[in-house]
Amino acid sequence: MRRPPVRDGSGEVAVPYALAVLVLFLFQITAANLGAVHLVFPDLPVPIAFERGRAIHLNLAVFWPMLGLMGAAYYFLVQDLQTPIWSRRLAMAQFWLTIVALAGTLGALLLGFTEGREYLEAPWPFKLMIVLGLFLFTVNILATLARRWHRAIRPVPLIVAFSVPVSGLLLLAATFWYHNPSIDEMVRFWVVHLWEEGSLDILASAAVVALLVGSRSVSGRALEGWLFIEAALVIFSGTLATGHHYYWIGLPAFWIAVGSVFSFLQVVPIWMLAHIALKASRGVRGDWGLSRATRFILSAVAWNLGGAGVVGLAMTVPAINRYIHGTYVTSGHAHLALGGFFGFLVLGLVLFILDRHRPVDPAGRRAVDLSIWFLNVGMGLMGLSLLAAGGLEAYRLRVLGREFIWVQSTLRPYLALRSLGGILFAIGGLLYDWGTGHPWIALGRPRRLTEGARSPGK
Amino acid sequence: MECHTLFGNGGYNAPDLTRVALRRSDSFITDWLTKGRLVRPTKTEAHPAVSPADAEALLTFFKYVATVPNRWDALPPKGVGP
Repeated sequence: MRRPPVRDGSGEVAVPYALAVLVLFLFQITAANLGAVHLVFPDLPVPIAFERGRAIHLNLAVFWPMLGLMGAAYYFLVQDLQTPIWSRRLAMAQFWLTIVALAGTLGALLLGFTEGREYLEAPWPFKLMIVLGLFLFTVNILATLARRWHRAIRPVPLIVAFSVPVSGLLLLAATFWYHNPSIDEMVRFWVVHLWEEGSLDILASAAVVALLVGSRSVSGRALEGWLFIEAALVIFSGTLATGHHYYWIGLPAFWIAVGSVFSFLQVVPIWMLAHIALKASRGVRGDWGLSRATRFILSAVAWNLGGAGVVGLAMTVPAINRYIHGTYVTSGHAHLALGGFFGFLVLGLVLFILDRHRPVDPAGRRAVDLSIWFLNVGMGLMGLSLLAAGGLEAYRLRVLGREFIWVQSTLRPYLALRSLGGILFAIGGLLYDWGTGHPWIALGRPRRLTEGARSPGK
Repeated sequence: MECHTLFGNGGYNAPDLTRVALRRSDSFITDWLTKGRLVRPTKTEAHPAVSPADAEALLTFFKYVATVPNRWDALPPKGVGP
């Protein structure tokens, strides 16, 4: 039987975040497919210049999962602490501040205003607005924790309370531009690496456990204990593993040793998270929203294992890295480890949250069920063809020493395959967006569907 | 950074520019940056052109970056960059 949705109303602050994810995801698949086709057919008239489209693609790749994780953090904090959020008004203020910052970022990049730093292309005022949003978020979290401090010394609340301000501090450091290009690169990876393999990673792990354990009201003490250890390992190994980005940017040579050793350790929490997710997902059935969210989460941990745990690990070996650095291998890895992990995870969380508040109707359910296949096959094809392109590129460019443009031209069939993967992924994305989003488009209409579904058997 | 790479980081569909100042003459670089020539393999797309002042500034930057000891160009032997 369907579990009743959250009644206290406070979890509803997550809804605008989840709906914004649907919109940004749509922008993302549009920008990404245009760019992918442009790479295969460079003379095709594409409405967005490649360099602007790529900057938009990279920024969206960080921002739509970030928004989803923010919404999920609010949702699960309320669930976990069994208390309303301290200030819904502050949560909404933070939401609109972040939305304005993202809209400004996308508008600026579309018009060609860029700081020219990969992933951090947004003009600094917009980055500062996001930092401010993260600090408003921190205030709201801490004030909520203070209400139930006796329940707060547990993994999910502590991880949320730690990761949000840390993300803000890291972005604050990277908001400024540094004259020394090596220092500038170093600080840039505090966001590019330490968000994805540090603060946002533990937030994602906490969301996985909160969803799979908390929402079923099953005793999850043991898994919560594992979550503590997993998060501690992510912070310890992930922080020093930033060194694998420092190999060739002009920093001291000891980073090669530190980066490679801790990159090996970094794989441990990846396997642990997969273990936790598998264990917690056993027996999830009966509730459509939860079971489909679980499928997305299991997809996410599978892509994380392949993209970060295997490919990522191999890439951080310095002897391999000096050949594949700056090739499509990195791109393949990023698609699997960022889009595959955070993307699928956030799609699962958003599906769960939206379905709890306005249940997905039968047609929407069929669309979402189908979307899981398209998204997974599309992601796999994109990742594998980019890895193949990168492997060939590294061999022809760095081993054979062939000319750059010639090597690029030989990669077109693989980039075409990537584009095909992108199209399949986009079909999945549209199905997902329609399935989860269309009940919300009828906001102004009578709420027959919602009211009826909200009180099953009552 | 969206097309080229610096220290190997950035876009992957144009050559790395870390050591471009060592491989190309000053006039070649400023000429390339200001003229907005067609980019291979396209038949219609031109490289974005910048003002002579910006080209000089970029050249100064490339010369500086080329001096950064980043260890990457010791190996592989050939092919890194244009």
